[in-house]
Amino acid sequence: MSVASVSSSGEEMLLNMGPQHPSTHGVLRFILRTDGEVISAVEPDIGFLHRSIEKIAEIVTFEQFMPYTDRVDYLAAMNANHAWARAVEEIAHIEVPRRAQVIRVITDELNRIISHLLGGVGALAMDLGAVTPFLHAIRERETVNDIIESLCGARLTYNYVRIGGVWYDLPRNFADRTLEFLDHFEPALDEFDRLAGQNKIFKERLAGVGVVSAKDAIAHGLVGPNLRASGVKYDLRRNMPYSIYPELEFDIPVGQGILGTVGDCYDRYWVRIQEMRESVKILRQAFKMLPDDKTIKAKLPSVLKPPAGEIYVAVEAPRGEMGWYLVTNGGPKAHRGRVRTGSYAAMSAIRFISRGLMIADLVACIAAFDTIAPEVDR
Amino acid sequence: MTSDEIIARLTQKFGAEKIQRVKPEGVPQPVAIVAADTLRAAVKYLQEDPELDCGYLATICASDFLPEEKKTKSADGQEKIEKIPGRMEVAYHFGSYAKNHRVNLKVVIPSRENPTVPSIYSLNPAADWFEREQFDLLGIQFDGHPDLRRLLMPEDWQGYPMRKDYQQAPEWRGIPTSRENSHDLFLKRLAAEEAEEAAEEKLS
Repeated sequence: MSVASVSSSGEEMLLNMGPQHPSTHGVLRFILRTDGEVISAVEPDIGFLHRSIEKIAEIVTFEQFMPYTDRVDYLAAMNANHAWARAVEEIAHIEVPRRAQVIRVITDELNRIISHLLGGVGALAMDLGAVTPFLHAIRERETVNDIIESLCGARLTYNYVRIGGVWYDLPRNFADRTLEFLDHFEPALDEFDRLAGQNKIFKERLAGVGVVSAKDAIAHGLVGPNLRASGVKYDLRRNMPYSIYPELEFDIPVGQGILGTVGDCYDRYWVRIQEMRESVKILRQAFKMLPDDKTIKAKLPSVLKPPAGEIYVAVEAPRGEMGWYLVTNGGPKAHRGRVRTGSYAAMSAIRFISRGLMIADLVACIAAFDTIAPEVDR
Repeated sequence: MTSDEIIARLTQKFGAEKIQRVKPEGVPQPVAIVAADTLRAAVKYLQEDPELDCGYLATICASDFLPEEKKTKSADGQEKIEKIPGRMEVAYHFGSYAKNHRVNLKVVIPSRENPTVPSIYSLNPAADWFEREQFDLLGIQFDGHPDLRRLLMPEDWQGYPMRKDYQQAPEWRGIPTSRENSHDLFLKRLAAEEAEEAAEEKLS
């Protein structure tokens, strides 16, 4: 039944959703004004996970801040580490050794795969009522967690990237284990796509829901897969390349409107599935590029004091552009750090997109935008 | 276009007294300091000019600078104290997907008391939450924002936490905002246990 065919009784009610709700992906509350099942206004009430990470950035030194960046986006801690490291390296003019660059790309892409698996497609299926695909996603994620654990000892908040390099070199059988996983993962991903993505109910729940045009996506500041699903071909890895990305061959999947409309929830799901395939491609290439030179960290002064000024540096995280606006004052601590995250913009855009949707479609929308509460609140 | 070229275009359009290019030594990105009264016109031009096309607002970042004293020694050995008044700065990072370029804009507010900048919400909807958050955490008043409320902090919170001179209130609605050091608590408990044991020994 389309939204237009639902008759309006003219009686509206206010409905509370959250802060503890299985589909809010963290502690997050919505206030809905609905007419029966149809939403006329949504107000996300955020801030339950506000840990003031930006204030902490002013209190500790640049190196000490690294573990906190894990908590900005705990599904993609490697990318969050990388964003901070890159911001400081840019303003302090630090040259990162090649081996560290390659390792960063490897860990970034591994992290992108598991972040998409859990947040982008797994939890999406579960929020739509399909528990089985979620368990398949979690099973694959577990292997990558083990691989990353062998690298840095942590399974969620890695704290692995360092300013000027990385913490440890790759362990002895890391490449073999990862490549073995990739061989297993590619067919598993196809299976996942058949199980969830080709399911009739799954398709109908997502087709034509929460459509965002390219113009709106740019105006509301959507980034990453959400932006690309709306048909804007923009990826920081390709358009503002960093690390060794310019040397790698990979495609940038853009929403095709497979089920009729470009920029609907199904396109967002599809873009994430394709991105995982691209990540597999990148990983295979990156392992061949590992140089023999074992230097993994640049020589830094004992106290890092970048010049006073300001800079905005971003990386492509799984939830889109994660950038730091960094204001320095010539001392060992940041004067002000502001992190721009993908979920924050998506959450602020949900207010406009969800008008006229059914309540169950709002759940699909939140999940398809892959918003996670720690990234919204920071 | 590079950031420098974009800033040059802006300067050409609005004049050098309204838009000033700043690039401190050793910093890779230039910043355009925009006069507060030109901000909206500059953003509008930035977004609507087909060659600039900067429709993507990446972030708004306000920062607080306390008044400070700078000691300088002149050639004849005399110490000179230069007083720098406090200020607030609001920085904007704009970008264009089609042209693949980026630019930093900044508005400097000379006073820390009731800092006000014009809101760009009506020009770019992404500015809504960015402005509300900067209001919430730093107390910047965005003139013309239709719904300037606290976003992350509770609505009845006192003060602006990201300001440099922010002092946290001891409690909020009866909930203490700090707690005793766990190490001190442990020592206290040990002392209490010891006292209890001593009292028991005395009895027996």
